[in-house]
Amino acid sequence: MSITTENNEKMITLMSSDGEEFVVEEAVAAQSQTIKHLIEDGCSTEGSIPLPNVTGRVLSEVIQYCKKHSSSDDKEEKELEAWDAEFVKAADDHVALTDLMMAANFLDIKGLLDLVAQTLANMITGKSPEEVRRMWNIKNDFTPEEAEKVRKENQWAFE
Amino acid sequence: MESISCDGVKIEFQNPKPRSLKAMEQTSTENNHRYDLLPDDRYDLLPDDALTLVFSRTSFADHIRLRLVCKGWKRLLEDEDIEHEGRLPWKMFFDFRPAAAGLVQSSCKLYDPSNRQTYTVEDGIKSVEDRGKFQNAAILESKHGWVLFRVQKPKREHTVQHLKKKIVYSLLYVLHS
Repeated sequence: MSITTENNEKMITLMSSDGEEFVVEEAVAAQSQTIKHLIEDGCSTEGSIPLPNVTGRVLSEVIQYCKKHSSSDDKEEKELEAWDAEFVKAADDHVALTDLMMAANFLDIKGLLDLVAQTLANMITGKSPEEVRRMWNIKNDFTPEEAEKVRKENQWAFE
Repeated sequence: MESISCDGVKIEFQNPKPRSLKAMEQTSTENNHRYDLLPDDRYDLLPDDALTLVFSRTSFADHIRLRLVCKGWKRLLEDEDIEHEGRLPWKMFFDFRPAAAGLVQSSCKLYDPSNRQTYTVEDGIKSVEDRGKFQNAAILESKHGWVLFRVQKPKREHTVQHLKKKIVYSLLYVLHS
């Protein structure tokens, strides 16, 4: 569906995997390289663009990000950084961040992908393997002997 | 599987079998229990190249530590050439001096200027057999985690010795800054 607002801004309809529809300005949607290419290929002229890998909950967050980043220019870099920090803070935990990361990757939004990757990296920086496992709920699949061997190879990093 | 052997220390490389984000796009609704996680956890959905992006934003010492989280991470961190934060050269301090008879006071520390961390590789008493040959030795070269020493012998003969893998493994990136 391609409709036009009073400001002559072309609108695009995006449909999430769970059937939720989002009507956004083309400039906002085009923050996503994937959507941009779909628009260029004429996929937006009829009906909505289906995004089978992104749920409505995640897509609404992604659109928030794209709206903010399409309306800001370079002069507002500091303000944008602060906004980004709040944005990932609101994502709350690693599961939400993981969803965001997968969506950013599928939609090819480099800024968002970098932002989420950095946030996840900050969570594990300087942490012990035990802390990382607990935080991200990862099962330790090493036997005690295997773990000891890995630890001994580079004991310095664990002290 | 290929392996090399040097000074009795065998290092094995496993052929990586990375899954990609592209593959995820096609099978995003299927369960991929790569890390054998609890059923209610979805972290297993983060595939190798997404993890690589995250890992590339942590330090070299973090990479070493994260190998111990689970086998999947270990394989990824060892087999893939993942960048790490902080490309400044590390410093290595070493000191091998005679202690009591047959013993050597041996210390080796590493300093990462990127995060201003000092790591202790070794600091204690070792036997002369283990470390005696490094007394009065000079460093010639370091590469791929190995440090090459030149040992001055009384008869003006020059020989080279490898320091054990454990000590120098940490210097992997010293020359890659």
